[in-house]
Amino acid sequence: MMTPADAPAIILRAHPGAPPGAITAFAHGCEEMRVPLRIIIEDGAASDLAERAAQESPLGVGAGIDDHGWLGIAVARQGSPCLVLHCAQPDAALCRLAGSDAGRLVLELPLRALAACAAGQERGSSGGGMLKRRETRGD
Amino acid sequence: MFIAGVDIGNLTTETAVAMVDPGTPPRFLASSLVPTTGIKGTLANVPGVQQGLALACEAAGISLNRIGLVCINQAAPVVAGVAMQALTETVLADSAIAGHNPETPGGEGLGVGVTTLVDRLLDADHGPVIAVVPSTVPFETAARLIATAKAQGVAVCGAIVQADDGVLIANRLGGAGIPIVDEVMAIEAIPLGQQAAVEVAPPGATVQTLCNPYGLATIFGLDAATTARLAPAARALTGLRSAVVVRLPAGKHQARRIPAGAITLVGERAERRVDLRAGAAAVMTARERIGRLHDVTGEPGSSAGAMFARVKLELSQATGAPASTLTIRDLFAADLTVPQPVTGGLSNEVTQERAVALAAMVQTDQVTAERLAQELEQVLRVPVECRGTEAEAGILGALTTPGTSTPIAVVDFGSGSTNAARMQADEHIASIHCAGGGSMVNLIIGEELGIADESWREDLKRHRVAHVEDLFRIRHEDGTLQFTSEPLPAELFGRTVLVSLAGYVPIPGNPPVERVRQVRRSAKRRVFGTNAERALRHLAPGGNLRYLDFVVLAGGSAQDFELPGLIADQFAEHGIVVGAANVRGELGPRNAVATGLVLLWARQATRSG
Repeated sequence: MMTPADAPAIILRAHPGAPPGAITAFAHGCEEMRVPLRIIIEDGAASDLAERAAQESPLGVGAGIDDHGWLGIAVARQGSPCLVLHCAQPDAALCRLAGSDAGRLVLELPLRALAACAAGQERGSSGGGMLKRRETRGD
Repeated sequence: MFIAGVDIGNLTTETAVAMVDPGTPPRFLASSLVPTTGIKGTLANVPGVQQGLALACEAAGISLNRIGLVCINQAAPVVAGVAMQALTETVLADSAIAGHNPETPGGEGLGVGVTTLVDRLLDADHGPVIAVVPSTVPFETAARLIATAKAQGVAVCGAIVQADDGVLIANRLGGAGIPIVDEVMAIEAIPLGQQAAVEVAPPGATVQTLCNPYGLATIFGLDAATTARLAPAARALTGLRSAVVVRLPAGKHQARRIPAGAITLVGERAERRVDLRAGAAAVMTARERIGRLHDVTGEPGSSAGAMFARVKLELSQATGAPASTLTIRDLFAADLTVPQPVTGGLSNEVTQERAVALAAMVQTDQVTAERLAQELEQVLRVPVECRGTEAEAGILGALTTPGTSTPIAVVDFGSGSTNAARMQADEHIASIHCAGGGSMVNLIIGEELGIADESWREDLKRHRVAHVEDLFRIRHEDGTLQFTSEPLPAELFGRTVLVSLAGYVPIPGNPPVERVRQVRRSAKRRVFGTNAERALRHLAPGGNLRYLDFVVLAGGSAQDFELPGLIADQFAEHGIVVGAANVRGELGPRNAVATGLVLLWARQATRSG
């Protein structure tokens, strides 16, 4: 579901050398969640691309895929962008889940890709999925 | 002389240490709270009492051998059990359903046809069809197969999809579109070659036809008898965004009923048999009418029967008394609704079924408490006395709460039972001990929310909940919006969480905040509220609550963040002053009995000169 430049959309900034399959799968994830997506091709590391994309996105959610296959998702709601998912060389299924999670961030629904990334970590996959986690205490 | 009061409760053992000089009020030096070891009132309590005394003496700066006397409560051992009996069950006859709320079904509308595998659509020669798409078929392929079939004149009216591909398939079909229900995990259980209906409601709406028995009758051309048999399927689909109903050959699933079971209450005035299908109100009415309860038996083979046998066995093992000599001394029942799996459902559908929860209490004589005192004396090498009833000591302790006076009533909510006592102006004390406490609240919360883990049930009772709106905002259950300076962990996003000292913890199943709060508060009202009322009516002059003045809530449950408020609201109309105790003006609702044991000794010592 591609959109014009000023329409509400998740922005995916993808490196020119990013795996095309990863971009397509990510787009399918967004489409299934019925959230518009705009893709911009640009050099950079996945985390940087994601954070910049989040700041540009009218919905405050951005993603980045670099030429090494890293994928990141960031949210920019208050001040500086926050990287919420950053994983190495996800397969097509995980890219699809990541796209779905980007949509879920917009729709305020629980995320799904984190569990898959955590499973990848436990399996000790090459490069390893890295999750952004922070300890948070209640009152 | 240093005196220690020790209150051995079901869950905790509380100790108060004081310096008592005849003729002067006791001067309390320290208190302690430790977990009770073993069942209350049995010899297994000794290690817990030792630990509690050691802690209190250390805090008071004295050695244990300087204690002149240890006073323990005379409470008889009490074992309370809880059980639940489901009363209804939805069993589908002549149909199978897949009703759930996938976040992204495809298309909209209602489609009726014969279930056909997506790669066999072109073989269909029998009117409208519903495509069945296993996850092994990619969404592009599924869309192409459906589009091809439609182009060749096959009336594909809907699709049932295993993967989360509903929107992707719908987007590639274009045109008028068809309703597509996706994320149907047990797709292999969808019978092929059968009449089926698929309905997807617009965003924000719910299905209108498949949840209506007459809608189903219209679609499938049913007679009245079959419509009645399909009604449970319609009920199970109410409130859902999308649904599938597949007609099965008659007799595929046979409806059956669970025997509800019955219990027999034997009392001083009468014996009553109550069928549990009549609900909790019928049980409690029978309980009230028979006067003092002598025993209860449950129908063999039912969970109620098993519970009564288990409670007696447990106490028999703990005390050494034969199970045949133990009797149920009180019984409490509460209605609840529990999510139960639908037999014949295809996607783990549940419906809300009626159930009754029961709490029973078994009590033995006082002999074991005397044996415990002797054992403690040998172990501690300090004189130990059983002194006063728990009710008497509890009232004296509660009276140390600032702002209280006689006549006063004290309600102590325990885990298995509820104690209440009332002291009149002339210091006459009456008391009552009722079955039903925190364990039953846990049971109701867990069953109604579909959470089996006991530690989760306890946490849900004790803590508030909130919804993580996004990475920087939490909506608390009272509607307060909290902003965080640091982003919250992504795994909490969009989740209902427990707000505890350990942090924000996602609740299994992600139930809505409103539902958790409603179930939690309602469970406390149904158990604590109902028990407080029946206990206080028993103690009030003439059974009239308006004759009560001060009611003090004591014990661990009175520390609950919302219980004192709930109870105070409940009794507000009777003009009673209700609140949590603040023992000795500093301990809150804890230590009332332990403090009271010391006060009781001091009072008796003064009277005896």
